[in-house]
Amino acid sequence: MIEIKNLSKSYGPKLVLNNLNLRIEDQTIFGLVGINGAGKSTLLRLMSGIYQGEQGKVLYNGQDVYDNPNVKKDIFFLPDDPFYTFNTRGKDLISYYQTFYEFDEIAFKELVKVFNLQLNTPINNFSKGMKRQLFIALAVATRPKYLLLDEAFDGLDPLARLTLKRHLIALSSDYHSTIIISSHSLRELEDICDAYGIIDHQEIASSGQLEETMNNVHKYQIAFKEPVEAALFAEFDKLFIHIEGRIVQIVLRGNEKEVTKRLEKLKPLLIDKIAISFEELFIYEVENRGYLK
Amino acid sequence: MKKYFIYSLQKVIWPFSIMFVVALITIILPELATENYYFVYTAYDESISYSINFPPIDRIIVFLGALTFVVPVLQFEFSKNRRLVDQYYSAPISRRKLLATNYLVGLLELFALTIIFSLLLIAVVISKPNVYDIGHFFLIIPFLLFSVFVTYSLNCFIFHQANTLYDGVIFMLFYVFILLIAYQTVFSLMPMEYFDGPPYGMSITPFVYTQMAFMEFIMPPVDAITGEPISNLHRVLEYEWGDIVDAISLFVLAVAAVFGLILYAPKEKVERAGQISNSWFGYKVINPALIFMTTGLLDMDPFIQILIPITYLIIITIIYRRTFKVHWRDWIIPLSSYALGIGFNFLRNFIETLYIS
Repeated sequence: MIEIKNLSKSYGPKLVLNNLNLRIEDQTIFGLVGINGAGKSTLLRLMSGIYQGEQGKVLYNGQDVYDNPNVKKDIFFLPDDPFYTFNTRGKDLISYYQTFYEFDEIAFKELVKVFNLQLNTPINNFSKGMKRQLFIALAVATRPKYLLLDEAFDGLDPLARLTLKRHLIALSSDYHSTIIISSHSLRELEDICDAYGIIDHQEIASSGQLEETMNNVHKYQIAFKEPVEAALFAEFDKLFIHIEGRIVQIVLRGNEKEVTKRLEKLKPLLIDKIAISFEELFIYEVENRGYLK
Repeated sequence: MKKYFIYSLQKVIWPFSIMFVVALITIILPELATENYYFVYTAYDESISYSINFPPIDRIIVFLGALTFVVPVLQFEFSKNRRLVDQYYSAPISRRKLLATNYLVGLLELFALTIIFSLLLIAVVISKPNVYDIGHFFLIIPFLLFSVFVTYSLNCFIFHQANTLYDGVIFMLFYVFILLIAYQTVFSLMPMEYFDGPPYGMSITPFVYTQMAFMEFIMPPVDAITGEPISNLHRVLEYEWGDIVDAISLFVLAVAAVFGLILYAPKEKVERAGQISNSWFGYKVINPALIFMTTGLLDMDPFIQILIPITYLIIITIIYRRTFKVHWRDWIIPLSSYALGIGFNFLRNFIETLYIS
């Protein structure tokens, strides 16, 4: 289990994370989302022991990760822009990862075959998606207990995204790995994540089990006889509301049956329940906290 | 750590081979054409001139001296690049072991080159007619190893204080001159009879120290008058105490630098990679110090007197801040140092006139 306790990090005078707390259970696929500059990459670097917070700790099963090789041997961090030189080839990277990890070369070569990559070609000649696939293959081959991926789906075509998602699910189920993915591709995260965390204003604004959260958020389009005002919905736990005369679009939190029952009491002409995606939920969450307005 | 040590050794094979070939081609191979290493008597206009055909120890010293600046860059470049920081600092190795391994591998690389080229040089000298006391030639190995250790260790520490590769190189170059200039500044206030010039240890790099010591011990191979080979062992035994103190000071400083480098590793803020280098060992202190000292020491045409420090001040402040639009606050310290330097210059000249009168 990963526990982040009262973690704060700043770059000079700029506070990036402030007293952040988060708990990630083992063997989950965790989606870390937030707007640009929210601190996702910084959090992942703190979680992989690259940075040290000014305050707080990142604990893996009770052990602090910072400068702790015993913990770090179970972690693989794949940044959004991993290092390679103009003439680094795929096979050159193997020796580096073999130095630090129990590297499964057979699995690596199998993945390289699946992704149709050439190990003798300089990585510099690969497309962005191919580079990402190569590093994903390296990451998977180290069989990490904790895999941290920054901007995992960035630059991947739909087919490559699908392949990556399959491999991540396989890694989680076959090797009981915990996977933490930061991404702006919320649709992809929704497909594979068990849990999520939204970073906003230097802290975790919302987190939990994705399915549970999605089951607790409902979007409705409601038509009334007469024009209505927002005050009518004052008692509701709402994430979003848009009123145009008699028509109301509203996103509410709570038990579906109870919420629907309470809405019916307002005597609308029509209540339509609309499906809501994780991406929408994220937008409403950050809008609610003062962004995008 | 063992696995990383082996990996790091494998990584330096290429740079090592390149350095080896460069030195072989530029230093050792041309020496094979040399006929002998002894006095050459040339009769000219009924007079006799003497010349000594020295082996290229100076070139080996320059070559190794340059490498003690290049190898720290190669070994510690990983901490100056954000992408490399991600790769190395997320790896399951403690920071101290990471830095210690990189330091050690670089030192071994330099030691290997030092020993190989010293032995090749000795072999070349032995293979030619010469009048040297070859036994003493082997002293070049400990002398050079000492210089390599001191300069490389100090440079590793200094380079590591910077946040970018370029700043690291500039910092190392700063330290080539800073001690010498500081020494000159302090002694410039004293009467000339007390000022015997800076000791070897403070001169540019310990390689100068090695060069001079080596020349003193070994290079005068024959008596200048009789032309007979002389033993130099007594020169080693009679080595001046001041020089030994210098050597010990440098050694202690180098050991402190290595400990500082490795022990401080867990406290390092690697997120500063690529940022402005704000270390107390860098621009922050050295810039004003150098501006103050150069302004205080220069006694030239008033135009040049103003031009040199001001040009330096502007260039180095722009390099430090990495912008031409330097904030007015960032000019305060360099300009104050310049003003203090001018004040110091007046004071020094005033004291000198007192001595003269």
